[in-house]
Amino acid sequence: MVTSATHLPLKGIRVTDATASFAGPYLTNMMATLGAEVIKVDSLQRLDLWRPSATQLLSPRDKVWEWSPNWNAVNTDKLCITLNLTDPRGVDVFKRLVSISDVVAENYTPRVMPNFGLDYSVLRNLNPGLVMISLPSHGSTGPWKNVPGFATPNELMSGVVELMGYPDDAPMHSGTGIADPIAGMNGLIAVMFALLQRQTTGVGQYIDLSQIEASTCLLGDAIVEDSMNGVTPTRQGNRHPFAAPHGYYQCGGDDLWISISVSSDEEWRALCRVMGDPPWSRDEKFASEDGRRENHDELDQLIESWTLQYDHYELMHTLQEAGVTACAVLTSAELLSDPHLNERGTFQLVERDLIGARHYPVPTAPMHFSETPLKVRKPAPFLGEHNEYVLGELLGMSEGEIQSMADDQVIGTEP
Amino acid sequence: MSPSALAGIKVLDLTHYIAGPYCTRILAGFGADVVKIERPGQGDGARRVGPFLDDEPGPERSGLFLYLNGSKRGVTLDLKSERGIEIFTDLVSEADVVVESFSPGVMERLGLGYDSLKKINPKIILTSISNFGQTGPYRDYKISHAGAWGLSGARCTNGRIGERPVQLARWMTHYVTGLYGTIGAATALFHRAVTGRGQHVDVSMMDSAIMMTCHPSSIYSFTGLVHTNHSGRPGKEVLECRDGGYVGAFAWTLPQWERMFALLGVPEMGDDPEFRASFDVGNEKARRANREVMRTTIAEQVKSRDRMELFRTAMEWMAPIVLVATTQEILDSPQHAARGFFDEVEHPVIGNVTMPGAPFKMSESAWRPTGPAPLLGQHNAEIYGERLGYDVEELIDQGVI
Repeated sequence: MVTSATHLPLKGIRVTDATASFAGPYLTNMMATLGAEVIKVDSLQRLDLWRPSATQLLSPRDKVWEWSPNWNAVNTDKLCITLNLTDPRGVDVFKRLVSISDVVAENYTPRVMPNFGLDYSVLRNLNPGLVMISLPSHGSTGPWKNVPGFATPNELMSGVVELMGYPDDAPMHSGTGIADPIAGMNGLIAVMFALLQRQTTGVGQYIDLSQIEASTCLLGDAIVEDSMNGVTPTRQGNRHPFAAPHGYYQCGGDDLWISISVSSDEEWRALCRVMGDPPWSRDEKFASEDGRRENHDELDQLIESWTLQYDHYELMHTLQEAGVTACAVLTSAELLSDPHLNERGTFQLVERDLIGARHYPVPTAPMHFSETPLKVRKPAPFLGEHNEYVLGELLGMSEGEIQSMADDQVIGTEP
Repeated sequence: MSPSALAGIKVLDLTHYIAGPYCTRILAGFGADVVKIERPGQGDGARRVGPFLDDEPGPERSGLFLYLNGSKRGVTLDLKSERGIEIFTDLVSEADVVVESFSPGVMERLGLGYDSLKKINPKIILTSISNFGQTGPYRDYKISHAGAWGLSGARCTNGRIGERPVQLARWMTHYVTGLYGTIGAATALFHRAVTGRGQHVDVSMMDSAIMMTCHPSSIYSFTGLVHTNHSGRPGKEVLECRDGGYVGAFAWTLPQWERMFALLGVPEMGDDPEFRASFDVGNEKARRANREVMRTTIAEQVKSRDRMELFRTAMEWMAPIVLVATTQEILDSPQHAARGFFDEVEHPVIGNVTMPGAPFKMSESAWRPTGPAPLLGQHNAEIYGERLGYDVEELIDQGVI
């Protein structure tokens, strides 16, 4: 039994990480921050699809595949090897790595791993305690299982987009690809449950996670509404079922906004006091929630004519001090300088060769563990940076074997 | 009976509304014994949030409450009474996890802060879910779903400059906070299994929303850009069909683009050498520019097709053209049916309801299909009488339950 108070939760757990893009890598990113040894398996022939992400915003760079802000953010604390899985030697290395791993994660469509001869039925024979997770868009079974997808189409299929936007206008997507991190979060829950179960039984298992299903679960109340009442719910714009006024209001400055959400008469009166009790606010039609809802458009204009005079951040503090639910709409620059987030350590400046010091969110930031405060311990790895450590030290392959694989581009450090 | 990952794990659920109850819903679904503790009289505030059966409010008519609280047992307890605290202490002494979502400081004022719980049960895990976390200058601030979405940095990629932000669908920022609550509890349980130590996990809704949007801060750190604006306006990525209604057409890799062009009857678009070269490493800028040009052609092609026929063909071709799915289409999906995604629940007041079941499938851990959510105080006799040996009538007379 370990008694050190700084025992990282996943210390001693090794992960073979065959995931790419955002969903799978976010899952293994959290595992790495939690202390697991995560070995990312990339390929010179087929680079992680996330490596170009947002690089169009940068001027031309040397080794551009190392430069994606988004890729860098979700691969901290990992090791990286390259393997050509269409070469039998690549498949052999993968199997040997799986046999000394606790977890293997992949998010290809379900035909890919069997094509490499690396499906769960093969891998579990190498390692009966293995926990394997697959997180394809549609899941590993069913008629649409092989249809490719990624964050945005998954957001459409899961119902998010139909329910976002204004009722009299076209649906909108989140713009931030939320289906990916949602799949990653669910994936980590599943892996944790499986590791917990293995502690007692010694037996591993296979986890089949459909990214679309994972997001639909977060719309369960909308599914229930349809099933229960036979009425298909639609978009609500910025309205709220029991708060009025409710919405985003423009503040002073360029494209700066605040959300205000008033869910009781008491909160309404507090808002009015902060506004200086203007004569219009005493109108009887705004006295009750029903009245405020019936006159919501007019109320929005009146409130906005007031919010426009103020800075969105200062107004948040003033309204919150008065007991009104008001939150500034933060820009990315403001996120990095926000005093609350700084005190809680949400973002961390991480130095990486070639890339320099950049800010990334700590992958586990939403959770503070009293036993093990967590932070990013090292930056994302370079392509194939750990080929020698993993193939040589962990798997005991000879220099000759490793060199011959490098000669044939089975492994390497440049695409 | 199939094994389950959380068999034998006892959870006391002091949460209300969405985030906390969603956290414990997942724990219950994978085998934990969850006892939901509500205030006598009013109960969980989610009972007063819709959707309601036939749009008529009532504490046993909320579809939201039903979705979040099936598979749990429900009791009432007045934590402001001495007797209530005494009973809660009894429950804590044999529990593994307590999940709470009061405002920061409330548990301490009740004498139930982590240090107090640890004295009752040294291995206890306390998961606290709150708006801004248990520390920091905004600790006592209030938050809403729209507020969390605004604080998350989502504005940087959602909506055009000068256009009013739009909140994320339904209550998703609350649910995501619940997911981190579940991760926190599961991680602490694993840590305890290895080290024998319990702990306090502090989950923040603001940080949860930030991790759901994830990238704006890193993009800013690399580029200095505060607004990169990939928005979701019509004509951009959501496309209207001939018979009305929307689909999305998205490809990432070259083979996906080729399948989509073939399906839309414009295969020659995939032959353009400049287009093909844009998939080379380092050509991301050209790829983005190309996509803008192609969107117009794709939108025209989609506009000349009927929606369901286009979608069915796309699924057969494994081409990435998908529905902007309505809840009705999700309920009717042959994919969900084949995978047994939905749970069918029979509730004494609401009747038969279909709802999402397991968020993922585990080969060695059965999902416990969602049951009817407990009526207020439904399991008082079982938990207080049978399990703890209290005189239930007396507790009712004292107003403790």
